[in-house]
Amino acid sequence: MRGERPTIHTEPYMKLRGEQHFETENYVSTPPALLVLEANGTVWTLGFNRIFGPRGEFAFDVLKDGVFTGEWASRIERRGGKIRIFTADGFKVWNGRSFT
Amino acid sequence: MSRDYNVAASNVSVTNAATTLVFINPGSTQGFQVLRLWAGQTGTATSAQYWVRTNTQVTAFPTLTSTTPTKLKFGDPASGITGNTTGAAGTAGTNASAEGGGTKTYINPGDTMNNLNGYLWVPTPQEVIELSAGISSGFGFGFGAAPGSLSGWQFGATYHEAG
Repeated sequence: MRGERPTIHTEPYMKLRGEQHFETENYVSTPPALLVLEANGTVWTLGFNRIFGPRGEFAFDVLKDGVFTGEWASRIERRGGKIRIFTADGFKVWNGRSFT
Repeated sequence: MSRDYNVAASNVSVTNAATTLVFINPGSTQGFQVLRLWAGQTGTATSAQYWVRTNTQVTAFPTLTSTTPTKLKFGDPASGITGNTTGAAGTAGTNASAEGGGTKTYINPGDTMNNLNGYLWVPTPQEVIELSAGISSGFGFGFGAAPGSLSGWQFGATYHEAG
């Protein structure tokens, strides 16, 4: 499925609802957290589509506010104020437009 | 990866107890694999740690809000597991109002979640929890103790149906 556009099923938690009350701290990752929430209100989550990912884990579609980013990862992490994902190609960092 | 289904609830209030949040009982011909569990809340902005756990339960099941499984792929058939309040074989429900008297056997008796960050459990492929068709146990996911905040909860489970 990697390289294909997955069917996106979203749950309400995948987008910011109402007022933002907190910002995810550094070194928090999903899983085991449900989501990573940036100061600007962006919600990062793992979608429901799965493939076999790095190191024997499942990898899931990476969603930004419930929208597929084109990436598959087993983990989304906030570190140093940046969003990192753990993919089959190693860690990638969000530069504001894409993961590089 | 087809025949994946969600049993989920959103923006609900839970009881002030060690509540089963999601309960799925395999049918006589539908077993399933648990692929994902999640919980989170928007009821409070005060950070706290909560105890969550998974279990199987026999005989006398929780009393639930009937929740019809939602298919994750448009082309899939409806799940053979249907929504019901009783937790009986072949049914699913959420947000228990009573836990039922059946003995619980804990799969993961103690996991911890932060209420602001929420909780997501996904297994590695070899850790998938499987309940075969026709067994007498249902699968439960819930709180190990009363949560400090009762409102604005969202939780659910993803399962892959087999059989």
